[in-house]
Amino acid sequence: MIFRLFWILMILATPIEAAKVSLGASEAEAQTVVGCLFPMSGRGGLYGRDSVVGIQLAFEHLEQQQQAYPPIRVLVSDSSSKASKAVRQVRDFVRNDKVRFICGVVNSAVALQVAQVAEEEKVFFIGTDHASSRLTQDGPLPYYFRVNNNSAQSMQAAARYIKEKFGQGNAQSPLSIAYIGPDYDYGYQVWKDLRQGLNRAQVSYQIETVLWPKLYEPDYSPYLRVLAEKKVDLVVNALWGGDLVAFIQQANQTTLFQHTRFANFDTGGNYEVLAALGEDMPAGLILSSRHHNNWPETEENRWFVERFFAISGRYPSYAAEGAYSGILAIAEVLRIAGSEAGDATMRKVFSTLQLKLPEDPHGFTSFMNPVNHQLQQVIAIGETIPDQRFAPARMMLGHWRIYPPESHAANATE
Amino acid sequence: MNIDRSSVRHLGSLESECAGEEDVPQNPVSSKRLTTKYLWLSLLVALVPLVGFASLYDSYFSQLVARLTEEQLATRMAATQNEFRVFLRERKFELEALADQFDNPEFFTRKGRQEISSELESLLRLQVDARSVYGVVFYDRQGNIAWTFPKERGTAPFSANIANFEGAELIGPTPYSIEQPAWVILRQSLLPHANKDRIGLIIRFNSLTETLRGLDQGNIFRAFLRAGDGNAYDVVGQPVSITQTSTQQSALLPNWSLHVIQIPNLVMSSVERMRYWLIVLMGCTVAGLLWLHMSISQRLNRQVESLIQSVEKVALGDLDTPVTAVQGMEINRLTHAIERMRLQLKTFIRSTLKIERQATLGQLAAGLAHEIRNPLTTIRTTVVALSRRESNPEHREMMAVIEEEIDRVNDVLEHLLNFARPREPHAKRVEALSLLNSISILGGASARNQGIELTTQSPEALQLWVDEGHVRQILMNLIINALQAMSVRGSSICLQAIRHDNEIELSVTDDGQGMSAAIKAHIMEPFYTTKPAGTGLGLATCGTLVNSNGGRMSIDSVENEGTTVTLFFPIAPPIKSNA
Repeated sequence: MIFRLFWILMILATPIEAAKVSLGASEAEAQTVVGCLFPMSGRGGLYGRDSVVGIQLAFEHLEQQQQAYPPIRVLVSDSSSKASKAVRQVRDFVRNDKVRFICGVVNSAVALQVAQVAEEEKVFFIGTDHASSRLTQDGPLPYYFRVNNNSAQSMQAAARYIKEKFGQGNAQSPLSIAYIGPDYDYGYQVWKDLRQGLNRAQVSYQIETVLWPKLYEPDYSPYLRVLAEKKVDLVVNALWGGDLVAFIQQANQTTLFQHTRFANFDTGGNYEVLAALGEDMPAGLILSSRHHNNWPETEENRWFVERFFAISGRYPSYAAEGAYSGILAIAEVLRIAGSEAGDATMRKVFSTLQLKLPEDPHGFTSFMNPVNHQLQQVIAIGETIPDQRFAPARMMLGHWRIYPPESHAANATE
Repeated sequence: MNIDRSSVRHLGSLESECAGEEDVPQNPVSSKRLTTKYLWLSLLVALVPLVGFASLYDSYFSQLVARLTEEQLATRMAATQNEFRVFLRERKFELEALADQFDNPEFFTRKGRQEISSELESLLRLQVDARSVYGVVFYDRQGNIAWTFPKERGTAPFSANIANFEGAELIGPTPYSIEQPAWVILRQSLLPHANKDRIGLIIRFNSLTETLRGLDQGNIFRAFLRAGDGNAYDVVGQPVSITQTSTQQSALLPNWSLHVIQIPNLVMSSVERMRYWLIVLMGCTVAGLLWLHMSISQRLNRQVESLIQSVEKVALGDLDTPVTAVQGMEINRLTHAIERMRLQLKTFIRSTLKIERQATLGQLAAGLAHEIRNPLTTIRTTVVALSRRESNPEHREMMAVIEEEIDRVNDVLEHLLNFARPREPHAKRVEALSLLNSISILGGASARNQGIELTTQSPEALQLWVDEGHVRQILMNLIINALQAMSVRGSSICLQAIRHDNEIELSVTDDGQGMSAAIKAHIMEPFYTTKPAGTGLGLATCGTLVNSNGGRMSIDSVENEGTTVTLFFPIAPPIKSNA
């Protein structure tokens, strides 16, 4: 027991400085320091590596602009998607690196704790990858802003898609649904948001089963067996990353995709998943993502995807565009408010932020909702179809259905 | 008189056997037949080992599967029990480690969250990083929840279901909800400083049900965890109702137990399925063998029965009915052999009869010639002498009549001798054309008298190798028969010679009244005649002469259309050139 405690304290005392990656302005010339937390190794390591390239592209983009942006230094740490480590890293960023902005964090459960610490430390936390709506649903957190779609936005679009695609249903023949999501806050919120969305869209549905595999579950066979036995109209899946890849690979060995429709409305269309599955990705799955390499076909998105490929030799996952958006948001706020502006001014500028991002289609600019500090974006849902343009992926999304934010009419500008 | 006793006995025994056959049933019971017995025996020999082997194998197989399954199940039950306890034990160790660190009573108050240092907070964060632990809960001295970490992890108040686990308390699980997965709390009941402050881990309930995975065989066994709330949960944490009696169950904790149910009707295991397929296959094999043996037996019986009936007919003297043809290799050969035997027997018997008849006729003719001809010659000489001396014209005329009648009797005797003992043929070259022409001239006068046209057709240089006298006699006989047959109808007789490969065909064709089939069947028999003044020896003599010249004769006749008698004689050998 003593040895175990000693080992734990040694881990807690281990310096994390060596794991940091520095990007942008040098320490001497930087007026603002941003500390980013991404998993850089393990099952979610690709998210961190793509995010670093995304940050590089953000600096390239800023240099090409006519306006002058204050010099920003970005430090990236490997959080390993663990709350204990991420919280220590936040405190380390604040105390040792004097950061004023925290960005990143993939895991929603980790993000909840990082947001608490950010509030305590009074540094702005710009969420770029996590999607649980809990952080934006109960009134705005003063120091928290999110620049990627949250689960509530995704599920509102999902509910509209289900209504259009499967019909409204009725009490006699409701749409039978099974849900499988990761057993942590993100999974709970996606499920809650989906039901709220379906209720709001007045879709008549019946829940056959709800399954909660743990994060990084290696064996989905018991879950697949239950789903196969239920024979529902629609399986809604909220697994992401390697978990989703493993699930689809194992589901391919069953008849699940043959007798039921399968949808993942928030992360399933992430390029990481499409590339990892390659030929194993079945056609006809209903997927979406926070960024698509083949949609929208705008100059901004084309530049982002091609430039990312030129730098890294691979196509970007949505994490890259999230980190890119986070740095652009911070730079834009600093440009408008000034590096020395107080927290209130910063918050005010953040609350009315407008950003033209790669995932914005023609005629739309992402904008911050001041009510919940959540960026409002267009959501595109598609089905997997053969597409060889983005190897190693062999399937990309097509047959798009586009869902702009409901407050778009009031807020969107050219 | 010397009698062969053995022959008599033999014939006697044959007669008695023939007499006995009348008492024996003609169609014995098929089961007593050798073929039936053989087939049933072979079926028995094939099926008894097959059924025995299959039964033993099935028994061995099912016992082996049952034993393996039971052993595996028992082993897995023990392993799962252990895994369940090890999981809780690990959490208990973590709980004890936390309890060691949180030793200040101030931590166990509503404001305890603000009292902990950053190191202790890190320790809590490290603890909840584990996938199986949702959070940590602190209880105050009243047993109420003081605070939880992380704070968003609320804990619904539940404490009804408490089970003791190695000094700790396992509370829960929370009621099943579609909102969020259920959890349990593992609470340390006795802390080192012996107050009522208590700390607990909020544990993912599905992590407990997942320990059953090793036991859950999907299509054979389903494992369920009956938790402290009395409900049963499957491997993925869904509540289920167990309607079937558990195959095996074992206690885990007070009110917690492990249940395994075999599901034969849901999906049959591949092993069981294979076993039933083997049984079905064996049944099909037995049925197939039965059908095959029955089929072969019935077919063989039919064939043998048919054969027996045919042979019995032959045995009863019916040599004219052909043996019924039976399909089947050996039986077919046997049928053909018996048919050949019947034909040979028929030919043999007929030729024997013919020879015996001819020999009898020869003896009769020789006797007649000896006994009648000499007295007749004496009578005729005497009558001629008396006639010369007789002056009375009336008496002389009467004597002339006697003389003619004696000549006629002599002619009959001559015919009889010719038939019975024809003279040996003296074969030589005979020109067919000249032969037919001379015959035509001889018969032409009688034909013209009847208004019948007699024609000949023959190529030149066609030579027979026969006794010319015999052939002339044959042809004249046939022409006379034809003229007699044309007394009612008919207008022409045609003599024709045609060369074939090694023989020459001579035919006499008339368009007279022809013969019925009944007449034709006996026409060659001696003394058979349709004419009131006929001797019945004409055609019989012809047949004898044809045979003695190495030829053969056939008669083709259709009633009211005409008759053709065809003779085949050897062709004359080519004349050797001196050059």
